[in-house]
Amino acid sequence: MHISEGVLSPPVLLVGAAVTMVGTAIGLKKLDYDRIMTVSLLTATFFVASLIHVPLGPGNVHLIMGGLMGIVLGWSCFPAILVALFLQSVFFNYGGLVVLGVNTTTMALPALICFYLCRPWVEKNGHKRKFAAFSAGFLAILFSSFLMAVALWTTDKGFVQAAQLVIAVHIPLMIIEGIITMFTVSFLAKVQPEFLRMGQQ
Amino acid sequence: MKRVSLLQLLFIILCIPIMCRPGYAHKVRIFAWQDGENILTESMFSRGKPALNATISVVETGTGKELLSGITDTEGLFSFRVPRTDSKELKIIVDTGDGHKNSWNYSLEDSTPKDKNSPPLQLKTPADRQAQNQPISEEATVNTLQNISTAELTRIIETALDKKFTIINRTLAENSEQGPTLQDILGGIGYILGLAGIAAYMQSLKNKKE
Repeated sequence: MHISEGVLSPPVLLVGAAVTMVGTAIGLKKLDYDRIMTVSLLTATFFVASLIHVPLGPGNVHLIMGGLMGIVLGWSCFPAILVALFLQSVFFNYGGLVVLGVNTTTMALPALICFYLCRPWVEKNGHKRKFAAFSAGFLAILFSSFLMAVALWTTDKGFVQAAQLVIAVHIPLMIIEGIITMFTVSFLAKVQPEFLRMGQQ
Repeated sequence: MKRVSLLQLLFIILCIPIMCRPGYAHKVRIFAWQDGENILTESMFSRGKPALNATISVVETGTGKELLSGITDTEGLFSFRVPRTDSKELKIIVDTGDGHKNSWNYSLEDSTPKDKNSPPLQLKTPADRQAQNQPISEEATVNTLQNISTAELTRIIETALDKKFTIINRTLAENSEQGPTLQDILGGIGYILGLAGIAAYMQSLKNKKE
């Protein structure tokens, strides 16, 4: 999911950086005192999730946890993902500093969309919550792959096939993330409802 | 229902890097080594999954001129003859087409033809042996040794050494880029906690003012 340095053209990089800046600004503004620990916990989760590999399908994909970030954090997923991606590029050499904006956008924007789509259902009990959490995990990866495909497609027409490949490669991950998000959210709703801020958002 | 505190959650998160073996995430990497007159390149994703049908281009590091390009096979391998160029260094770039790209700097100095001016390998002639009062071995061996010229012997040794070194070169090249270590992971988590601390401090200042 991390686009490498030197692949994208300057306009795409600039758009990515602009979206990330706006998102991060709004996210920081909406971040209040008692949410700081939650945000940093999920930042840490996102940071290490990339080390867990999913040995399925033709490509080699790792967990992203965009859906969970979106459901729990809302707008604050932007600063969280930005920080995690920055540290990943510095420590693990994933992605790069120049493409940080685009990479943040491809992962944080879908998370935010999932927040608006699935969050109302997460507040409900039983199967509706499970279904909403699964969709969040699934859709976050689907939208991320789509955004990544768009970023690659606008760069060079020859990438269209590769862009289709990106979505195909990530299909197993969508299902796995959906299941993981579903279990995590139901678990959190049972043992630590404050973490999810039930009824407050 | 027993509640899990934030500290316990943090502990669980900290355990994740210990449970999983650090490896490469979705990132392509390439390494090259010399195999006789060819340069062999191998491209792979994390956990040794080969990057098939990836484009490899070989570029002069100084001028940026593309010398040749090709596509990797099903094992992620691509080989080419050492190109004739004035450049001392080559940049071998792999592009998988789905947003992953990486490069490997290959120094040509090791692969240039061996220096002709270097003193040729000295063979001990029977006369030398006699001078050192060493017992002369069987006549046949001496004859064979005499028949092999110095240049030929040098070539034979070099070929044999090249063969042995190919394995070492490959291993060296493969190990030159290490994946994230536990220190990297814990360092990153440390930074995140530090940032949380800074954010909490800023917020507490704001709260005091109000």
